[in-house]
Amino acid sequence: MRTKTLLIAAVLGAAGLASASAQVTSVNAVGYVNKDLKAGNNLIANPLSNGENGISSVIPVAPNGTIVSLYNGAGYDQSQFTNLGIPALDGWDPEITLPVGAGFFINVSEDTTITFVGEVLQGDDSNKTVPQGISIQGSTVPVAGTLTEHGFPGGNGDTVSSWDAESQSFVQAQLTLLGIPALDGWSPAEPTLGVADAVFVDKVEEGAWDRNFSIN
Amino acid sequence: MKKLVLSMLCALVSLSALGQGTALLSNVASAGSGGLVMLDTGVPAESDVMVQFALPDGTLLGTPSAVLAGGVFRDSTAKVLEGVAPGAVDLTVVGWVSGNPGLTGQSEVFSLSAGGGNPPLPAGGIPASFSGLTVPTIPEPSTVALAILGGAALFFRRRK
Repeated sequence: MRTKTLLIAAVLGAAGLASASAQVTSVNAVGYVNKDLKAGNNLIANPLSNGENGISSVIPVAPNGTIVSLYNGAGYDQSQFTNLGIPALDGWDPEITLPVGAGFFINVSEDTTITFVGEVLQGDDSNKTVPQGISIQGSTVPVAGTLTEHGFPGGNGDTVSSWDAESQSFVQAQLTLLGIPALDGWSPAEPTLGVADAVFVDKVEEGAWDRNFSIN
Repeated sequence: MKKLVLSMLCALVSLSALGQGTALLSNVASAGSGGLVMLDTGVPAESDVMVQFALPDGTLLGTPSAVLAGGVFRDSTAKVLEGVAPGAVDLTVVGWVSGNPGLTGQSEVFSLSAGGGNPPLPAGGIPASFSGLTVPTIPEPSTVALAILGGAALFFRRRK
């Protein structure tokens, strides 16, 4: 899936104001990510923080009838977008939250592109916990790479299921760490996580996914 | 016209696949804590042993896979569990020495979440609490001969 990522050069610095010796104390990176979606289900994650990260601000526009499905541990919580030109009806219903790095299915009726706008999370804000059991996980930062490159806390028996939007099916991989060289590693191959992509994770044990990301 | 029919057939196949539960035939998660395939001789099974999902009553589901090594099996291709809907399901794993499917061992019953549905869930995995299974081996010819000799000896002794 083609993902065009552009982090625009809107870097806001908090410059020293009080005295000549005061220096820059924080740097925030604000940008946007264009995410191409295929008709049908797409497994993606919000890559940028937009304050409260309510769905109406994270995905302000989508094709009429688009459905977002958040996995809740047993099934899905869903929200549908209406775009009929009827103010009383148009928009997302119900309003749900799409935290940065939390994945979800989005079902669109036609190929389309959605745009995420917001701030890149850094430091502790880019860290999270991957719970035991099944969850949908995406990176908390808009960077592409293998799970190892993402610092994913893989353990023996963990299963990662990537979604192929072209074939509308899962591609699954499992990590073996049994001390048996012929078996150890990701099978059949280590999954990758593109910008704004998400995967299903079935964790044997809870793990800390610490990115401690810095834009510098 | 042919393309249209083909597309409709593909769509039907996809829809039927969504309606069937799927599961991963792998004991990697439990292998570190003893959830292995063992032979009744006390050694871990090797690649001449096949394993397959089954219902608690022994009805086989999906297709079999071979043990890789050391009692560990791991097939990354999800198994389609015919007649099982996506969601929670009680299953077992059955194993047998290749070429002798009539002599099987069966694991204890465990629960997993079968994949499928729409929006779909991925194929469920065998839990880390899986306790493994023991597969009976085919008796050696010499063992069979000894048993026959023993039986014959008993028979003649009773006749005397």
